[in-house]
Amino acid sequence: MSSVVDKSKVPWWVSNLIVPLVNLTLALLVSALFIFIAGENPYQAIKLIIYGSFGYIEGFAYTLYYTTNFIFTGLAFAVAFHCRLFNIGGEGQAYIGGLGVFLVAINFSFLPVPIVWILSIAGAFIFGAAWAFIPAYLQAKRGSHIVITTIMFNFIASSLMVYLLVDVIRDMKQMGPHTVALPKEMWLPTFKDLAALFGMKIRYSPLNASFLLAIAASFFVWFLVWKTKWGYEMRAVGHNTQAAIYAGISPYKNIIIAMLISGGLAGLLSINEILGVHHKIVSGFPAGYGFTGIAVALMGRNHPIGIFPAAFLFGILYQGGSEVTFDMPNITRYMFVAVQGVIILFSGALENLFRPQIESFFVNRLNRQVEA
Amino acid sequence: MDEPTGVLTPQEVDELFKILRSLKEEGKTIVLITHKLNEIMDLTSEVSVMRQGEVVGHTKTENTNREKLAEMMVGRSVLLRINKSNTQRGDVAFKVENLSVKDDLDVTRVKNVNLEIHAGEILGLAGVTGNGQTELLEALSGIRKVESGEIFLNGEKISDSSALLNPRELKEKGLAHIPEDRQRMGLVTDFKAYENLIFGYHDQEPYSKSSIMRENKILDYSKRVMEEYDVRPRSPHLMTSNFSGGNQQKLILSRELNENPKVLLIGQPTRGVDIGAIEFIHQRLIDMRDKGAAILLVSVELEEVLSLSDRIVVMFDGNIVGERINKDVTDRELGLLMAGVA
Repeated sequence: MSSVVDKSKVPWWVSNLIVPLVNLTLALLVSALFIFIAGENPYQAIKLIIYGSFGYIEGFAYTLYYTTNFIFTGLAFAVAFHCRLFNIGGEGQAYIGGLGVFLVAINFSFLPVPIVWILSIAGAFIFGAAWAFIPAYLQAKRGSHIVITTIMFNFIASSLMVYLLVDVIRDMKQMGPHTVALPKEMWLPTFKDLAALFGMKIRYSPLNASFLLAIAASFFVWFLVWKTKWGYEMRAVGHNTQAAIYAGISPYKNIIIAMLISGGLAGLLSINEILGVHHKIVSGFPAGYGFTGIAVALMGRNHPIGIFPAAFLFGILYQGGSEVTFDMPNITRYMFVAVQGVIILFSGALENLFRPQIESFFVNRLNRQVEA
Repeated sequence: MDEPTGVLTPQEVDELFKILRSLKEEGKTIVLITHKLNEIMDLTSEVSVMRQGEVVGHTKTENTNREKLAEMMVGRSVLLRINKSNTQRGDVAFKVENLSVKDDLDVTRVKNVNLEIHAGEILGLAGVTGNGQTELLEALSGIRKVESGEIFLNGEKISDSSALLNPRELKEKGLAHIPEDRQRMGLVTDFKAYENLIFGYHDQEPYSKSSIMRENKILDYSKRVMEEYDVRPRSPHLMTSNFSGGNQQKLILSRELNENPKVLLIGQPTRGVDIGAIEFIHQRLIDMRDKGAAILLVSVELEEVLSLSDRIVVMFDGNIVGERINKDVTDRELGLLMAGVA
């Protein structure tokens, strides 16, 4: 290893903008290579991605709909990570959160609709948090590693939901593994409804009011982590458990709190999916958003301000990617899973691959300017 | 081998030494790093003594003895001059009765220790590193479980084997602790300076109210204490890891002394600290004492213990092996106690 850079001299925009952009560019170059090998023109593919995600209003709405999901799961991972917990269980927590939304909405349907929405949000949060509680407890009290337990709990959640959807809460009038639909008045207002208010007619769009909830959740996370005593204590435990104990901060308590909030935020994904889009629990609705949220959080450096653009980027990839697979026969859906994998690889696992070089490059340049 | 007998029982030590001797006879070279002089005398053929990063002596083992090695280890440098008035010793502020403590590996490191510290007194605890001082400090400050025995603060029992007050509760009762290892325990080095300046006091007013941190108040306070303790650079927003050792220690010191604790436990106050900061820190401790605080000073620097303390106890292998009034003791006498010779 060559250069050790004094971290305090690295300008914030180098570590927070330049480095992620370099990593992203590299990932896209490797992805372009994939597309080339598959026998398609990478330039055309990129044009399709951009057209698909920005080129027409419905496409852009789809991009923002995916963004909403990634914000929730990215925030979920980030909160736990500030306590140095790798919550891999966003997927399962979101799934169980959906159960909470559905049970609340169907059982409190006699209440005024806005109250049902608020209760549903609470239901999503509480059910997601509850699913995170057991791994959190096992980590805090027994030292069972959170990565292992949360992964396992994804499988348990999945099996549990399949059981419930087949045998218990299925809409018994039909065979598919999903519940009855919620009453129509409970569906969250969509972008289409909003456009109609302004006299704009658009085709179907899954984008709905949950997007606003995602933005509110981003503010909540920022405030929680940096402005409250809980955030302070969680970060202290995350950075240095021994020092936390010295200061009378309980690692046990903070591991539990961080995981509950993390699980709750993952649970909110189901507000988008169930109140906003499907209006019922369908089998497997978290569809991998929980896992992609990990990459979103890592890419966004676990800060809401970073998570938003990272979530948006993955929204573009999801929406633009489906456009590409539609138009280019040689590119399958799985191709884009690989592209996401490459991005995760470069911005997550290989995050520090070029960081030292880039940082020392800028530090040296700035030093030279100061000397000159 | 670095301190190979640290966690071994005497029987296991015998077994290990048997193996080492047979290796030696086979012509193998063994480098043994240890505090324990009897191991040196027992096992080695040549010995070097290191002190503050320098080799201060090298000799054949047969030409030396434990007393001579102890003298070499402790050294005989001139004491730092400290302006120190005579003690106005008050009542007992902190008392430890028959305290035993185990470390993480379940080895008893503090054995039946008794201590009394009076208000307005600095009690120095001397000893070679690893003789139970760390575990003692941790038990006294509510971090480590007490195996047996009792601890009293101003006559009130704060810890025994069944219950202990946590560090935050102890702070409220007027006990402050400056730990031996500032980077692993005293600070969160990835926090900004101002965040560390309230570490452990963060849930008290005015730093937070209804669980919301009040950044402006914290910054006002930070600027004030950084000025008062001459922390350089005076940037509360700078990451703590970017401060020098001495300035990191000043951050801790200002935090812990700001509340005027009645009892102060302090470990290795000047380890890795530059000479200017050492003087400053020593003067602060004397000021605290003159204001009537009871101070337990744990240090492996004999000079520091001698220049600050009113009374000195020596810890060896988990036991208090001697107690002296500072003005009646020589460093040689303490050195022998520290080496477990006397």
